[in-house]
Amino acid sequence: MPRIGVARALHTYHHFPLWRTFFEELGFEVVLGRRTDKEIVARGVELAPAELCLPVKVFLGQIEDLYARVDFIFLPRLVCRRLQGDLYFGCPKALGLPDLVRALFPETDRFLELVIDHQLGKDEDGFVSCAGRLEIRNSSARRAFQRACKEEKRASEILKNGALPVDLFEQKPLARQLVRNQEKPRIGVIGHPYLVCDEHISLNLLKVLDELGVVPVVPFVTEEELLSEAGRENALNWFYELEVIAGARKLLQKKEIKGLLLVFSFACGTAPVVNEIIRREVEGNSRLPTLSLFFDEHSGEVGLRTRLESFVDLVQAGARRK
Amino acid sequence: MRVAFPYMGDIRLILEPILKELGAEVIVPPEPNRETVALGAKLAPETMCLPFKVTLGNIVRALGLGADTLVYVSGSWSCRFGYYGRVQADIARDLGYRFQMLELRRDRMLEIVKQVIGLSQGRFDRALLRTARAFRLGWFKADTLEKTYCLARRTMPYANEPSACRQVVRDILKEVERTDSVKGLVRLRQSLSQRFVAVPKNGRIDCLRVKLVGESYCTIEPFVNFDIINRLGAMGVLVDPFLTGPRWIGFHGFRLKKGEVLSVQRAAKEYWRYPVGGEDANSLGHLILAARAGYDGVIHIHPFACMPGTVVQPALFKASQNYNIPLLSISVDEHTAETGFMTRVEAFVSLLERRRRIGKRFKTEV
Repeated sequence: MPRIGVARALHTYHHFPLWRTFFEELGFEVVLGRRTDKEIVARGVELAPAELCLPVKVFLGQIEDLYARVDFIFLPRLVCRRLQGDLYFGCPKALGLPDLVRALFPETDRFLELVIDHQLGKDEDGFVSCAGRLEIRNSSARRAFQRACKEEKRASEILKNGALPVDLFEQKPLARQLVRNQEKPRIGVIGHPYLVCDEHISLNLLKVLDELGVVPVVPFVTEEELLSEAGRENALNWFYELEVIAGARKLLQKKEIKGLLLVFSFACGTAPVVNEIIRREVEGNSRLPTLSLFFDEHSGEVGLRTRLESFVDLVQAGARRK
Repeated sequence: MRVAFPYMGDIRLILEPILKELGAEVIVPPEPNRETVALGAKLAPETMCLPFKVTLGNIVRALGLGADTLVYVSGSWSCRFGYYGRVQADIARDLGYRFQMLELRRDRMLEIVKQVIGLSQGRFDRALLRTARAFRLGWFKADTLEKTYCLARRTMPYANEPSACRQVVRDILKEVERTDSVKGLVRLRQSLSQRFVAVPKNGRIDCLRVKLVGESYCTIEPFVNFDIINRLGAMGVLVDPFLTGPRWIGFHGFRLKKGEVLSVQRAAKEYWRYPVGGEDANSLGHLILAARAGYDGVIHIHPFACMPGTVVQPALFKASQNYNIPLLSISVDEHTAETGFMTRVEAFVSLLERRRRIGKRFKTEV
């Protein structure tokens, strides 16, 4: 059975159930990259130009790690999606990813590229032509795509119940028990899942928060919420950032969180724009305590812990005053 | 209506007469300098790219001078450039300025048309006539400027005194600004080559040729790239930018040397299949064409953390290796020091000189 390698980085955190089911239905074995560790980051940093953001470096490190073990390497190119008649783009790094990888690795015919571009056709067409490169008939590709869509729906149900995208990487995802402890203040954690949920590069952020006595809340944005966000006047035209902002808005509306943590990677191009928008939203609404954290490969856990401790102190003091 | 727009090289000399001809008043902010950048960097989000900070400083200063309308190219695409208008307007409103935004984007064209008609007291025929006249004037100004720059670039390395050549350019720019008739511009254009021929020469017969590629603002704005074209020109290196101000605002878009756009795209295709903004595919294509045309080297300038600029870097380096043409890629931000920048450029130039001296050992394999 031919093996397809999928990096445990970037948009895999968004779409893994869909991708896995699609290729498994077509009779391939899907190999997910191992958990990010020091070595993978080091490899990525060595390969990539210094100014790229950390998640892309991790992606490159993952690819190099998978390179020897699989027959094909899966490279998604998520160009744009149409929501409510408007086009929403991926960030330039996501658009250029396959070309970036091709420029860095010697052998290029083992890369399997998936193009999602609603200017050219629907998601399905992208998958069908991707399968076409593996010499698979259109009809069976379409069937596999339908099944994959069903699987994605199921996965989003699991996410709605409080699971994190990392949980879907396991064969049998467990629904995470939500801690409904009223006494502990809850803190919203906003950011790309490929940063927030990657334990290594986010330096165990969620666990550290838990240890400090607060409950981290990672919002899950449903399809409808994303659509209503897209319908807003002057919405951002970045697809994945739209999701981030919709998540932040959802948490702010619910009014159950006591603080907001904005998690970005350094040199992420979309971060300053997203940060600016969320900051304005917070100032206009609720004046919640907010902390923006920028991660790169030099971030240290002690520095993170110090900043989080003082932030948690601030949040708890605010909660007591009320 | 008092319109303001940010600096970008000398596009002011083209946009100002167009807007004036349309009936608007133009507010010109002070030329970008350290103060502009400091102001922009203070107000902008920290990790935003340099062009954002410089243009923000520009427009805030223009608003301080009393501008009440801002013109932006805006839209929905992948690069941050599409959001400049929205974010900058928010920041300026926070500072307490009140103004009107004109976004040049596909779905808002009607608004612009209405504004233009409004400037002609609501008379459509008059507006149409004025627009035609404005763009005709703009076209001739752009054409004169483009020709001036082209001649200046080609004269500079051979001039005995580079400052004499610079003086000629300064004089011509002043004349372009003063001349408000097409007839005058045509006459000026005819005199251009004579003026540059008259510059005393140093007797050099050959010089290094370098192609300048990169993000458009960094290529065009001399304040950001430390006037690299003239500085290298004075050192005896001919620098050809792939993009100039007049071309950027579209005035040479429709008459770029025949097939240039297409051949650039075709050349870039091998390494870069989806243009993502920030002139990435164009940089790559021009690098390859420059290698084929026998240029000695390529300099790539992009703002620090520019998304398209960084993601295209590996492809640029791979192409430079495959086509055997040296490449220097520099990123600039508000902290870039002129000395550090020029040291790197000078080192690159001496590498090119050496390469040319012993060049026969390096065969170009294309």
